[in-house]
Amino acid sequence: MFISYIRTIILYVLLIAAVRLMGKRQLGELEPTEFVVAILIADLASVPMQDIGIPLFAGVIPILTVLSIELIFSVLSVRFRPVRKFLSGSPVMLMENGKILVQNLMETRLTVDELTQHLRAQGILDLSTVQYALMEVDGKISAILDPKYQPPTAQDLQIHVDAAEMPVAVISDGVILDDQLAASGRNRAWLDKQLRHFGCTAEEVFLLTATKSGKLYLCRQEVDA
Amino acid sequence: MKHLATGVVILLLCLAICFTSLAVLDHWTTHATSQLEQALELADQEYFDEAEALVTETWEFWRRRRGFFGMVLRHTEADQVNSTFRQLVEYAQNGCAEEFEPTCADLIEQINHLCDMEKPYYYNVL
Repeated sequence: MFISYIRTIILYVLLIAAVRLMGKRQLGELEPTEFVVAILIADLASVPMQDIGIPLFAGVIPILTVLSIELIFSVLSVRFRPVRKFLSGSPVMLMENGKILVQNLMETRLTVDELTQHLRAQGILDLSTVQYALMEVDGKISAILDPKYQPPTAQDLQIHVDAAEMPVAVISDGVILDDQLAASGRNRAWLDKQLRHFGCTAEEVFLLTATKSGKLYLCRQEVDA
Repeated sequence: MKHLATGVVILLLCLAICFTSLAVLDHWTTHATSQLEQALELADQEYFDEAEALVTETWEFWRRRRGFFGMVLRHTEADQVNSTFRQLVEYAQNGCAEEFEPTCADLIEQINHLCDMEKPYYYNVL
């Protein structure tokens, strides 16, 4: 039991390090190679976790090997298009100018019900309004509406809108983030003034964000009843 | 480039660990089996005291390295070898040539098999 406990901690730390090393792509966009790696690594870790008769290295070495191969292939994919095409494939056009490309649909082994389901999930009911629909390499379906049916933008309506500002967290979970405060061009004196205005201390704040123009968002800590 | 270098370094490191553990395992198993073969010859010539001393020495050699074997081999396999060593020492102490010789041959085979299983031969890989 104790051995399993220690091995679980070791393998957990190793898996976290492996996922961090592979980068945010691994978490957000599961392309075929990344999907394989995710399943493999999980499986490889579970074997020595549960069977203490197997050496720990019997799990660690394969995990590190899979990690290193994934790192190498991901870099080669970025640098060399043929490698990318071989490992991930290419997006497939499913619809063009409102017409379903039946041959391509059959090649992707996607049914028309699945296609309409994915489009509905994106708020598209009328297929004739779709200019392009593509199945991406990670299996997601992207749909671009014909410009006639797209919601108008501020530019279309010739309305002036202010540029979006990135809010910066200056207090998080009661702790003042001095480096973020400095990055937003503010100082402690300004912060104290804002907190007095809100009638609270820094410790009572769960989150306080500020933009460059001075727009604030405050969320107080919840007090247990 | 950083990720590529990291990937290559980790891959080479794993390869180095595999080769090193194989080399060390090969060296130690060869040493153990050659001593056991000598013990077998001694037993064949009915020098059971010398055979027992040699087997005990080989067992001690094996036990001193149990940390390494525990990291590289399946525990059941390592336990099996220990169990056979124990039996062999008993047979040597009791002068039982009929049990000693086949058990010693079996132990040599087991230890050779442990090393062979780690070698990158095609039948191991497939």
